[in-house]
Amino acid sequence: MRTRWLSRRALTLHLAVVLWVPGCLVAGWWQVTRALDGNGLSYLYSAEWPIFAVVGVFAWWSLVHTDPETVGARAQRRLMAAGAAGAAGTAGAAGAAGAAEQSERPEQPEQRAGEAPQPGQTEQPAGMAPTRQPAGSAGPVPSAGPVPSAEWGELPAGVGRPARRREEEDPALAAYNDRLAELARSDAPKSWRRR
Amino acid sequence: MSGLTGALLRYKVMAFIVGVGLLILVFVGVPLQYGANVPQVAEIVGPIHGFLYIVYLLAAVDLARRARFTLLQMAAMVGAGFLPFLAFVIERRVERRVDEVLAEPEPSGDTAAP
Repeated sequence: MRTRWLSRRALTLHLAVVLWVPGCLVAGWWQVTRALDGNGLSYLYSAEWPIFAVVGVFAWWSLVHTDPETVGARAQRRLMAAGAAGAAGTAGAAGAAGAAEQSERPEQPEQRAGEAPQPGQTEQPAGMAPTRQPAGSAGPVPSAGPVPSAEWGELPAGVGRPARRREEEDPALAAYNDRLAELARSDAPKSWRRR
Repeated sequence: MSGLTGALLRYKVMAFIVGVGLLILVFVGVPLQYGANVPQVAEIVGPIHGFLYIVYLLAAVDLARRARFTLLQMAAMVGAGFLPFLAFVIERRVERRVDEVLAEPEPSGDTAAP
């Protein structure tokens, strides 16, 4: 709790919101006076400025409460590592190259043509893909075994299921579950006060 | 679309829209209003840009919390709605920054196999 509200980052956020909100309100009031002077456009602007203030408060609250372990870049890296690991399972060591190679994947004999693309790869904008992933970070996901097909029924029993399920999950949920598992493994005290 | 890459794409789309809107407002709407006494363009584009800017801000906040941007970086994102052309510059930088964030090595102990 202390670290959430009193970290250096949190303190700068407090300062920012303390400056932002009155600034928006002052500007809004200025637009109100202009509107009353007969500037029709200012009626709209005097509605927009209070919204800016509210957005500022929302931003402050959400930035202070975001846990980087679960929702942030780290969670996303986990997800991308999972996608890279899934590709590596069939395409060999070069499979980690990711989105750019997706068009070549049907050439792999064990790939099915109609296989659903893996979310971790297709969702990358071009150029920011798992190519930069360090190969070692592919660890958490079982990469051995065939890449499961889109149909659950065609899966060999047990093999590949955990990886597939992880990919079908909502990424935020997957990251959250990872975090929970991590906490459960560690001997950290259960009380939220001690975080 | 989900996660950090989804947030980046949403932000980029809004940055483009807001950037173009601001260019129209500043380089077409305002000159017409004060030079040629044709206020219609500014009257239409102005409020639309204002409300789209709110959507842009929300996208920026979402990206900033996911990528853990510093306050200075967030201030630059906010400024993109006020200064012409800044939106396009900032959008590039933001994308590069998110790339860097994604490329950072995982802290040790974090990759422990379950």
